[in-house]
Amino acid sequence: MNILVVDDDAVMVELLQYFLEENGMSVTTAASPPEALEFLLHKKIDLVVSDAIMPGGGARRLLADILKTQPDMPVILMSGYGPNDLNLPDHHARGFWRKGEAIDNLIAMVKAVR
Amino acid sequence: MNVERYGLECRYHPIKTYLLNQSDRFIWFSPEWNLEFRGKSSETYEADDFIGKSFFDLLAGPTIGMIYRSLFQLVRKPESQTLDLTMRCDRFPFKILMRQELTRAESGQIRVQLAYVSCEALDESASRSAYDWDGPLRMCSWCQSIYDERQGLWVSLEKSLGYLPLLHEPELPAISHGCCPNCYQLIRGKIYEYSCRG
Repeated sequence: MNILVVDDDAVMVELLQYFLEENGMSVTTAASPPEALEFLLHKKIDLVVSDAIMPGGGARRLLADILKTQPDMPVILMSGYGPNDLNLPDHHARGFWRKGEAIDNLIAMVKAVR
Repeated sequence: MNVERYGLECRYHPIKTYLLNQSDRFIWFSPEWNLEFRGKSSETYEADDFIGKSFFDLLAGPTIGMIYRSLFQLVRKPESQTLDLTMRCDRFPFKILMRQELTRAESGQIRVQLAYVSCEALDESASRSAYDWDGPLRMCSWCQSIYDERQGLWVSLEKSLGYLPLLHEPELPAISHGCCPNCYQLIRGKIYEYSCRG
């Protein structure tokens, strides 16, 4: 399974990459929505795991790009804020992982997509 | 300088207490709050008017809300001690230091005790913003420590409140949730254990 992890925090990206790879996933990383879009257009991606708040539009922009280009792409959002604090548009997000929760919860969501 | 207002800010402020329930709604105010309200506003309202209201509905923005949510999370941990914080709570053009004690009470309630420490008049030419934020405010998602760009260090939230103007700035930057080095090591260890378990 090829997962695209999108987060502007390099340490968080490294942590998630290590975690997902340890669990047998293949991981591509991007630091921003525009960078993520490049991968989505040119690489086979099965799932996007994205931070909800990033400079340059955050998940709002990324979700809009995904809806335009690959509307069936599953997305898991993550944030330190709760989902109700974010006021994100309705989207087919398959899950929401709150940063700071047990990281095991994230893998359960990823496996549910597979 | 507004001399009358400075006088009000500098006068003796009694220690005041309120209690929040497990949903962060006000359930009790100590009587001193009424003295405070009557001294500062021409409107007539009592502290009890706020009973049942959400603490977070009274805050100025999402960043301050996130900081208080993080503090409440720390206080509600079973092993937590009373958080004794000295915080800058400026009301421009005054620099105000307040002491705030947050204590876990029964059934997830939080008891908050407030006391004024000092009030200084800021220079007339002082910027309304007391801190030049270069980017987002970085917070560790796990331990809630704050990254101090100037020192290049991760500092506990409790300590950072003493010198970073996190609770009074008119425009705080958004919080970017990351991972501090200590939590990074801790979580990598947990991932390794998780992977070994299969």
